[in-house]
Amino acid sequence: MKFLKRNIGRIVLTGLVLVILFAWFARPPFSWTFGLLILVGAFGALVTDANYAARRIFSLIPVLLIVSFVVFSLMSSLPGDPALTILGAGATAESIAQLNQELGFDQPFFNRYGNWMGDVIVGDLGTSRILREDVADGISRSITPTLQLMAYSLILAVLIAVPAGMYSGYKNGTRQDRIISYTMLGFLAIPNFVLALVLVLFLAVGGVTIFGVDIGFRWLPAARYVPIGAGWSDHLKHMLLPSLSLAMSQAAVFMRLLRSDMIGTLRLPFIDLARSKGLKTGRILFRHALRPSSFTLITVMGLSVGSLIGGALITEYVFTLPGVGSYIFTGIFKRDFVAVQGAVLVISTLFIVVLTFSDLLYLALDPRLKHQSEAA
Amino acid sequence: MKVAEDALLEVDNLRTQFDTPGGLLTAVDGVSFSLSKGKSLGVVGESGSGKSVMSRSIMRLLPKVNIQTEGTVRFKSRNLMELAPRDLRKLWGPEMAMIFQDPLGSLNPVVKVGKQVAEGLRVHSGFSKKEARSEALKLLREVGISEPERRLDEYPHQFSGGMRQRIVIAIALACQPDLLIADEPTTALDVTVQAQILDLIEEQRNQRNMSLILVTHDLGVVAGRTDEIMVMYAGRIVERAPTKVLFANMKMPYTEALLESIPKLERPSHSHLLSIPGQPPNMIDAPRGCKFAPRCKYVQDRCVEEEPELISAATPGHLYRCFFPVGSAESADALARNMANGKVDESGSRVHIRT
Ligand SMILES: Nc1ncnc2c1ncn2[C@@H]1O[C@H](COP(=O)(O)OP(=O)(O)OP(=O)(O)O)[C@@H](O)[C@H]1O
Ligand code: SF4
Ligand SMILES: [Mg+2]
Repeated sequence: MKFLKRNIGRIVLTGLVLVILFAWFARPPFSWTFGLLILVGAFGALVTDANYAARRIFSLIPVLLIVSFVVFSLMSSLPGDPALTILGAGATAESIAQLNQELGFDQPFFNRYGNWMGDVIVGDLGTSRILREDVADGISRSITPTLQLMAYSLILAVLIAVPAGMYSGYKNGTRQDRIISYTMLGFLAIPNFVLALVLVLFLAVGGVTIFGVDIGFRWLPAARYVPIGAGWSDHLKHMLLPSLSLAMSQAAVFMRLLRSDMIGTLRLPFIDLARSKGLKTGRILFRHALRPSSFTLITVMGLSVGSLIGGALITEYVFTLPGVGSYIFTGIFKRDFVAVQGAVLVISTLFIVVLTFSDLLYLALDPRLKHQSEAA
Repeated sequence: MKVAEDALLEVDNLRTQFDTPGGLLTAVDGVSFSLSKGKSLGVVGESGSGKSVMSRSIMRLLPKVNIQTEGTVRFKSRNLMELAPRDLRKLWGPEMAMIFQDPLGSLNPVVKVGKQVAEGLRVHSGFSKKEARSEALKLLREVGISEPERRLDEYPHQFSGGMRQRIVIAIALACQPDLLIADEPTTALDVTVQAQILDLIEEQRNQRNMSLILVTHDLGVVAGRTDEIMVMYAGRIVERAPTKVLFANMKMPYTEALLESIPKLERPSHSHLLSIPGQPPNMIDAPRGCKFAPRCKYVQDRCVEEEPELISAATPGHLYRCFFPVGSAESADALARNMANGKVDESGSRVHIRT
């Protein structure tokens, strides 16, 4: 009750913003993002307090505005005449001018930005004349494989990096540590798409034959996207190689970070105390050392979503997944700026939401920060 | 070596060495002693004299690499040196517990204190979550944390240094150990809190009939508190005696120097640094003779030539390691000679020639 009274203004405001955001995000391409944002907000409210979470969500608004402006300016400064592309070679100067007027391209820059933003706020990303499709629909169709690829990669990277980093840090300086560290460094050095090709070669298409001996397997499909609707196991089988090839370099970075933080943590006095309680090594590592060692990792994981996006676009291409990557590539080749603009905006928004989440996660893991944020 | 019948802990010829880049560093050198059930032993020595390494060697809680330990540590007639890690783990907590030198860093910053206190009980005594929590509550109350119900769910940074040390004590006591080793439990705390913490440890020891090894660099801390005192220098025991005997009749020039470096013994405790002139010896290549010789005001040629053995004084249970024990006629002569040849000035302190 006291909480309600003290924060009534904030609650009403938050509600209003959520309604506006809903109008925006209820459109399909944003529903992922919106769902995430709600989760992030709820999570923030849970681990810190409602006020802090609301403040964090609010502070996203100017950031998102700036992002949209940058995206829009970049796209408008690209060379090429969209009207010409749409009309094709047979276009007359007159018909170009007319189409430009229809599309609003004859207006000054800020008017165009204003118009676009006005539409975006209500969830309308425009219509692509070239792809003959609503951009929002196009993105919502193609973003699913991309998000799945990114999510699986991140999960795989964490599943590989956490045990490897912990073990390596615990065994610091031993041969096991060196083996793990150098192996992971190797994965960091190989570009994603090369790893993808190697994985396909040896795990999907049967590898190579040297002196009559086959080295390699045909365990997994090499390409093609299968949606979840067609069956989970088939879906995951098709996603495994792309996710793995994207995950390994991330896993290497995560592993090295966790390893070095782990080494530092294991030297701290509270680890001695934990040992002197007679706890098993596993318990000491997981219950006492992992959490205080994971702060850098969490921050970097949030940031790595950025490079994951880039990597995902290339990986999609290698594995012919119909994701945002291929959507954007098509858009760029066909000079379809409306589509590219919309896709980049959605991706940036997602990235920012994920970063916010990793910030809040940080607070959840370190109670000392939580009390600082409450005091502030 | 004499073996008390009810000995809980017998340490025999304990030696701990570190492989360092500069050579083999002997941190603990041939330490032997025994401790009976319910008794307390104060271990005193300057910084670097090997107190912490000795405590950890007894607990077998040393780093795993670049280290060599020899000798035997018999606890309840089991040789800890021969126990496998998993058997040691069963002892840590229910049989022996340790309080480490850094009270502020000893608690996990990201785990609620209630959980940290309850953890040992969950692991060793098979308590359920609920049972362990209510036991933790009891423990926190016992060590003097007010409003323990609320504080169980707080994090270490929400407590003062003294309170944190009380929690560390609660953790150590949780599984009812028979031996508690407290390594400078009050060094980082301010003077008034120091006395409270020491009183708390003393009170709990009495209640639980627990044996205690109280490590400190301050002779004043153990003066009225422990049954016996053991003075360490350069990794060795240089004097050992029941507390009263030691203060009435100390034999070791080093113990005397330690005592003189405390301005007022009546004060409950002291946080100032000890200041015996000169430096403790290098523990990698220690000089041949008595390790205290370069700083001793009674030093004679013999001291530099050979190292004195740990020998018994007239009073039972009093051991010391010196050729010219304090208060003897020989030491008076030695001091007079040193004053005559300028090794010691008129005020009675050793003259140090800087090289
Ligand atoms: N892990 C280690 N590696 C190498 N040398 C060590 C290590 N730990 C301790 N030492 C050395 O062992 C000697 C004894 O150290 P110890 O910590 O036992 O001293 P202390 O009596 O506890 O001193 P303080 O009062 O400062 O705690 C010191 O010379 C120290 O440098
Ligand atoms: S043996 Fe000699 S140097 Fe050593 S303490 Fe005794 S008098 Fe001093
Ligand atoms: Mg110490």
